[in-house]
Amino acid sequence: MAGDAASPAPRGGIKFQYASGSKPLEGYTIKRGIGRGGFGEVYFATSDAGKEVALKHVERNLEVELRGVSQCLNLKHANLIDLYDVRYDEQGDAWIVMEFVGGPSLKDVIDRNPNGLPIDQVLAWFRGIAAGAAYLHDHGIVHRDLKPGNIFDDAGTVNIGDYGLSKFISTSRRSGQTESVGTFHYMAPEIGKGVYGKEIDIYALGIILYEMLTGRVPFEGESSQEIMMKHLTADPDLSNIAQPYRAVIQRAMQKDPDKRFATVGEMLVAVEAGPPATKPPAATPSQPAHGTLLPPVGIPIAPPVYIGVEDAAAEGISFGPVQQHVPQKVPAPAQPAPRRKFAPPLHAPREPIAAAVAQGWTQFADWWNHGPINTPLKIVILLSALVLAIFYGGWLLPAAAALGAVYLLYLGIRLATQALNAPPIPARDDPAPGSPLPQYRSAGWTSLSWEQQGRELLRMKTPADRIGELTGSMLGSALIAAVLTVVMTTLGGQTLQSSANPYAGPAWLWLATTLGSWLLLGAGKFLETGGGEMVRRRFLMLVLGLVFGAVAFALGEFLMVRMYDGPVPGSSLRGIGNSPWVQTMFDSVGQPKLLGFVGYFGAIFLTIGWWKQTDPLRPSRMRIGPILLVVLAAWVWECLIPFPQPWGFMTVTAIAIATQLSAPWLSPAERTAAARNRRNMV
Amino acid sequence: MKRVQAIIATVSLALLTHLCLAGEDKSPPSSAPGSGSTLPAERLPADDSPASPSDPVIETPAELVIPAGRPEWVAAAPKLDGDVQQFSVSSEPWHSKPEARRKLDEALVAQTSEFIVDTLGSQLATSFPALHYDAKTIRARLVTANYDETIVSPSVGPMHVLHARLEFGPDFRAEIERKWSEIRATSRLVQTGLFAGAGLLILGAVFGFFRFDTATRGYYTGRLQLLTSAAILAVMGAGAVLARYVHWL
Repeated sequence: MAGDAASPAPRGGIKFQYASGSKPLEGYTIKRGIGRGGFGEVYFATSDAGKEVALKHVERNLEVELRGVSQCLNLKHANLIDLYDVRYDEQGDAWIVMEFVGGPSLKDVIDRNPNGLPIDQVLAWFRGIAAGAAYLHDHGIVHRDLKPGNIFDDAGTVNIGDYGLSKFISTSRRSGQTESVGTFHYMAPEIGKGVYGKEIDIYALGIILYEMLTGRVPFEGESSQEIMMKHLTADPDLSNIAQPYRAVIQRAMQKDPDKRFATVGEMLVAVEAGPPATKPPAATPSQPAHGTLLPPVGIPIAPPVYIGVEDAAAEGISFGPVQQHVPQKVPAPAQPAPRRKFAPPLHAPREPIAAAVAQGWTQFADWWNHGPINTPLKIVILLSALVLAIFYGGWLLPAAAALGAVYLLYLGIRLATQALNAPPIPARDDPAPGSPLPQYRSAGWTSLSWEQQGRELLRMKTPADRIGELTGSMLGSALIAAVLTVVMTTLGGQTLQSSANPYAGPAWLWLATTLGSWLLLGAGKFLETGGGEMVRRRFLMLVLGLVFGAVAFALGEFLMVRMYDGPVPGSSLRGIGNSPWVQTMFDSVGQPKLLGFVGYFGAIFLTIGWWKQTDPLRPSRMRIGPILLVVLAAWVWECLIPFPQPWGFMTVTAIAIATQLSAPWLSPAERTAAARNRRNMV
Repeated sequence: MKRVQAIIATVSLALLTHLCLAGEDKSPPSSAPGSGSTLPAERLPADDSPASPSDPVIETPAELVIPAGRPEWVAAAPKLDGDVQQFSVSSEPWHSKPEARRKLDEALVAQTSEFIVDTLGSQLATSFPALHYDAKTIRARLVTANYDETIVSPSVGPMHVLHARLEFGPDFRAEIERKWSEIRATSRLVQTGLFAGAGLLILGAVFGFFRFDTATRGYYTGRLQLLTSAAILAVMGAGAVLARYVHWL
């Protein structure tokens, strides 16, 4: 089995043409359908003798593709999925009989490691891929569709599949944009010109190496055209990649095919020149035993066979005129292309304190999002932090503000010192008339590779799906709010129970938390597909905050909740919080009026990007960063609008927690399954 | 013959019973024991109604005799003295003192309830135990003076009249207002709980519909819609029934 067909059947199932037990092809019995691609359906089947195979039903019987497969039938390598035969059924449809691989694809592995694979696994995968690709090249075959979805782990051995069918899969318009987007991520720029040399495989290997190291592809976009344009013009962002892999990827992804590695073996040698600690081969997947990385000495290398090149136009490829690529005979250009000048770093070396804080935060976020702690424990930690913030916020926040001020002062002095000591900046040469404009390095795309697919999946939801999800989330948030209310009442003590009825305060807290999370969940449901400009989103949040404040005020009045009994509460910043306009927000005993409610909550809702907390594609179900941000916003706005505390802090914090915990979230496993399901549905 | 004997015996028993009861009942027929009623004057003219032939003959003065020494507050109208509201409450004349005391207690409770209702502006206020003060509590906390007297009725003879002065100060007013707030808050909490519970149940029904509809792949959509509608109606009906037991304050 090869390609996407290696994926197990999606949950919920897709309808296959042939049922289990049927025998559309003589000598083989269908056991189950396991996937569907642009070329047709893939089945797990057994021969009459009992051998397990994968059967590809080529629904479009294209001679060119099948000829390509036929040329690969006699290839034999440990890192290639074996193609056994091409057979025809009674209707004349072609079936490709091939090795069945039950292990996960590299794409599955990357999806499970959104921040990249450990370096030993990267090397193990890359050795196998390189060995298989080199073997293909040695036999004059360019894969042309190397991508993680076509590479599998078969009990510790890396296997490359879908060679021979690459042409069809990669460029057929029949598969539509959704199939193509996944392939375009690995497409070398010269493919647009119809050039199909082995350099495109090396380019794809560079991208695969990048993706294994970072968990994402270097170029992403909203459309295939945008991705292709980036392949043509942009440089990948390699700032997060250590040497020597950075140099390897940089060379492999050169726009000019001639500047890339000449062979896969050369590229592998460069990769293997990594840090000594990374040298030992990994156990999983095991290092391929039969990798032939260098051209066999004394054996003439046949020119590459470009499968189906002649049918490019017929297939509807619209990249440009088809050119036969002859790497060895390309004449040197009369005017050599101006070598790109790498611009100096756009920013000065990072300030060490900021770098340390950022690194610490990144590590903490990684531990929080991917560490061993489970969600209940996270809640306990958060609540403990909240308690500490409540009890010690009186001096913690001012202390943090003072530290921040000191840091800003230090930063200002540092920048001024650097400016004084820095060498004079040479004046930038004005470009000569007619000369090309200086090129600046593109920052590249840093979003996760699965995000776009996730958005597509979210857009595919029906209204019934959305309403069902929303009602479930609303019920969940009500329950979570109830639990949080119990905890907060226990922590808040008498403060929350000073109303006419001691349960009125907690009831208000529960209702306000539930209502707030419902508003955000409802809004998030409409924003999850990624639509809406930032300004509109902010405006929506403001409206929600005003509505929430008004309803919370009405609830407080109805339940006769007494939040504060005394003079108008003072602000953390004296003089601001006690201004006349603030006084109008409170009654004579310090209870906030309608204006106080809508002002405070409207401001907080406007400040926070709540839609990120309801996004099903957020990195983890509950993230501490947004919650801390909510607390910070509550504190900052409390300086201007002295809303009684801890009511304000507790309410918005509880809303954030309840919203995050109840909002739909796609776990990595679900993302993998959903993406596979969608891919197979195409 | 036996029937005639039975009729004679019954008539005789009725006559005897009537005579006995007429001798015991000496309460004033015109005024019920009410709150705030006061005795009008030291002496009142005797009842001119002709005596029934069956009434026993009693020596009585020609007019009502009220002994001297009655305090001024006994006959005073309700008045507001600063923050303190004063009321004079009487038991009306009764033949025996225990009866007069019982009637005075009833008058005290009635007067206190009336004050509470007037102050809080709700007829329902005193229906709550927290705002229902019994006579013992009222005597201990609100009665600031007592006066017992024995008057002589021209028709009945000596009768006991008990008087008490009720004072409702700012503390008591604050107390009943606080309790009223608690009652209203509790009532509204129950109302909110009722609505929230109904809302969550309806939401759960809608959620259940979508879950089951998805799980059954739409094969039973019609039946599930019917069930969901029935469940929502049931929740609303149950809510309406429960709402009858809730005080809407």
